[in-house]
Formats: sequence, C-alpha cells, structure tokens
Amino acid sequence: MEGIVTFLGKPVNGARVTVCCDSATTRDQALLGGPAPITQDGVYRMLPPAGNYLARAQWEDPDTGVMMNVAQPVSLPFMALARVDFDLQPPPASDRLVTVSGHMDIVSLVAFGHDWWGHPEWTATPMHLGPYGRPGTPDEELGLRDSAGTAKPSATTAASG
Amino acid sequence: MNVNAEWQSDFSVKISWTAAIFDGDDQKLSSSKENVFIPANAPQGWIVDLATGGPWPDRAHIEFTIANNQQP
Repeated sequence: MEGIVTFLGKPVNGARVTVCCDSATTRDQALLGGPAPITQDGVYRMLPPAGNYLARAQWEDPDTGVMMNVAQPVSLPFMALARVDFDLQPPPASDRLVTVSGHMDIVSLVAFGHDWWGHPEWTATPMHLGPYGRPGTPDEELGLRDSAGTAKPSATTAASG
Repeated sequence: MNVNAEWQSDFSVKISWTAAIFDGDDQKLSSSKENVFIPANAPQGWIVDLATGGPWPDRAHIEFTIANNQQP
C-alpha cells in the first residue's frame, strides 16, 4: 500500500498513516536494515495484510500545533499494490485561534537608588479553542477555556534616580 | 497581563483580561480589567494606562490587540 498525504493540496511530511496493525510515516527516514528511504514529499509506503480496514492519516501542523486527521475505508487486495491517498481536512470553523499581542511602556520611579523602565513587545501563547470533547463524557469541557499572559517584566534599562 | 478566553458556539470568544502592576512582594498596586465578547475575524484593541499612588508613581502604558480567527 502506498500513497500521498496532502493538506490544502500540498504534500506533508511526518504524517502518520495507520492501517490495521501497521503504520508508516510520510517521507520517513530509512531504518537500519530497512527499506530504502522515501525521498518524495508526502509519500508513504507500508505492508499491511490484505483485507478491509479503516485507514487513518494524522498530522500535527508544526506552525499551529493542531492535529489534523482523516479516515477512510480501504480494501487491500492480496499480493497487489493499493494506492490510497489522504487529503487532510482543516479544523472546522468552530475551532478558534485566539492571539494576544501588544506593547508596553513601563517605568518604576524611586526616591533613592535606580529607576528602571522597559518597553517590551509581547505576544501571549496562542490559545486554541474548540469543542474538542465528546458530550456526555468527562472530557466534555475540553478546549472550551484557556488562558495566557505575560511574565512580570524585568528591568531592561536603568538610570540613576 | 492575563487573558482568559472561553469558546462560544457562535464562533465568538468571551475574553476576560486583567492588566496589573505588582510590587516586589506581589502586592497588586494598580489594575484594570474588562470582560468582552470578540466576534470571529474582528480583532479589538485596547489602550490601558496604570499608575500607582505616591509621589513617585510607577506607571504602565499598555497597548494590545486580541484576535479571534479560525484555526488554519
């Protein structure tokens, strides 16, 4: 069985394809004593047993950390190559990405000693919200709330006060 | 600066933000906060000015933007 895994029309490397009891990674590195490495982007090869299965491809977007997956039924013939491509689907519109960024001007004045001030640009850790949990289960609230913030800034410049 | 976000079924998010000045003993000297709903794809910005009391007040001027977009 072989094929290509794409997301938004582009091949993705590092996607995990699982069928039955076997799995493979797109453009995987060759293992010691294993088959030749796959050099084509998005391509996987594997040797699952013949039969009818639900095949699944998963890939975590390194830019967003969001796991995408797609599953489809496959029918694998005995002793014959099956071509199965996967087109990963983006998260549904209900999955939200909340970003917070800004700029601060901070000054701390003292009667004696050193004043300090800072002008940090800051970006909070992105928050990935969505109804990820299954209703009626303990993880029902999964993804519905998140928080982010800034560390307390340290002095970036000091001057005599 | 601390921001809490809560998912809403209409694709908006409920935001509760707090900006505060703390002293060296983690005592809150000045703060500002707001609860707001941010619709999808309509970022909102704020300007916050904080100052502590006393003859030599510590001050903070904060400009920030919160955006609520679909996950790519």
